[in-house]
Amino acid sequence: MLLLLPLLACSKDEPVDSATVADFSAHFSNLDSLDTVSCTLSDGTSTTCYSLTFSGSNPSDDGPYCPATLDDVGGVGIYDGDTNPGFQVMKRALFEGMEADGYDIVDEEGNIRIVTSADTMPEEGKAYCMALDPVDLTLTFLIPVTPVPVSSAHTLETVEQMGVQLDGIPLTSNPPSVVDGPPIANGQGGNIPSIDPCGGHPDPAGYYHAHFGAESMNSVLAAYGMDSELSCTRVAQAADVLIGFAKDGYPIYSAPEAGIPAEADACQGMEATTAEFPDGTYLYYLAPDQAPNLPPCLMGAYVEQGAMTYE
Amino acid sequence: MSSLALLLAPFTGHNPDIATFILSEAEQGWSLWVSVSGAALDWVLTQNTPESGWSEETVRAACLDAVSTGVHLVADGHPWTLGPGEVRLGTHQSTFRFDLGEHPGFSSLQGTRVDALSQVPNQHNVLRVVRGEDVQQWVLAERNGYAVAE
Repeated sequence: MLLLLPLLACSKDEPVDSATVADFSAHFSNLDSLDTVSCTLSDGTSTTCYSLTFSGSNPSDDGPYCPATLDDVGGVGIYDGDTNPGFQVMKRALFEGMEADGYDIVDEEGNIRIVTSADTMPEEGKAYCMALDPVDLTLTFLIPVTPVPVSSAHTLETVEQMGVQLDGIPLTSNPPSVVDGPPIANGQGGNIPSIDPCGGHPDPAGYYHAHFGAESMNSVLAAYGMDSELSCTRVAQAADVLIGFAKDGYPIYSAPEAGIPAEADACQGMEATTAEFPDGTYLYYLAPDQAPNLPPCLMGAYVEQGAMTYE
Repeated sequence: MSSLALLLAPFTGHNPDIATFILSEAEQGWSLWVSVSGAALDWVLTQNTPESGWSEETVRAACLDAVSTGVHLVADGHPWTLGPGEVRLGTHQSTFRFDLGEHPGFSSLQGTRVDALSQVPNQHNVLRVVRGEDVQQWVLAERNGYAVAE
């Protein structure tokens, strides 16, 4: 009997009443279906997860956000090379910096080399601005019904799926490095993904995802002195509103007017009461002045494989 | 960058679990285009290959093999064999193209299986057939045996 205790201690797989499911469902738009399923979290906990399915979550696109030439202005990008690095508008200074670092991303006529489709073979030795075509896929997310706090934070890795917006758009951690990327022997670096002014873009497989919380995007653009050239107009800007859920089940709120409270932890999270959680909850905030502005780590356990699936 | 040590990136947590396979027709015939994340290729190579003997050519050949051996096209009931392939390895995304030659046309891919990279946890392969503006799409995954069902 004693041997069973550790197993029982890890099991929280209990039925979820319909009112709880309905309350959770009410947070979302574009939701195709919401079910509850058994799941196992990263700390070994067996529990119940919401299974949320969305289709057609690609927002209408007014891009592309790779500028056609050195004289044009596109979206935003994050460059980690030596010359003029950092979060910036996609324009001449970025591409001339990349050229100075040895990336051949501008042709002889001053045109930016751009990839828009997966059925184009990049030229050997050339670098590209990536502005990939959106393709609708149906996405399903698994989120624990009852968040399970962990003793040490999970640091989100590059392009790790970290949550879902209320409209079904995946929230994805930092975009890939231009210089390093996931290492592949003899692989060429130098490709830089274009990001729209609301902080997202299509994956090479076509589904749109967000590297920024869009509701606080304009304050980020202002913090970097980019607001005179770009603004997020597709998503209404709002302070301290629920924007989505992290894959550990904790809610994510946009940046408060006064910025993230001082008592927040390294994951931009803290206990708070909100209109949606009047009894209080642990929650994450978007940063108002950092790029990207999503939480850099998670304080709860999550589904490790299959937290997001595609149909 | 020929050491396998550089291929041993931490995988857990990354989301390289979706690849795109596009069948498209051009003047010179049909081609299969494949777009794969560098992290997924990294995963497959480190799972399948001992840590020795890496060179630019062996890595390129191993990547071509990892993709091509997992593509089993069937057009109107007849196997459709991949021809020679080429690849541009990228640090976050790699592009492959395989020749498929002329084809009189087909209406069904029933029986096609694309289980390339299926060793990658939660791997999904999106297969698209592009005929001008007309696009057919299947999402192939473990739940459907990576097989086209029409």
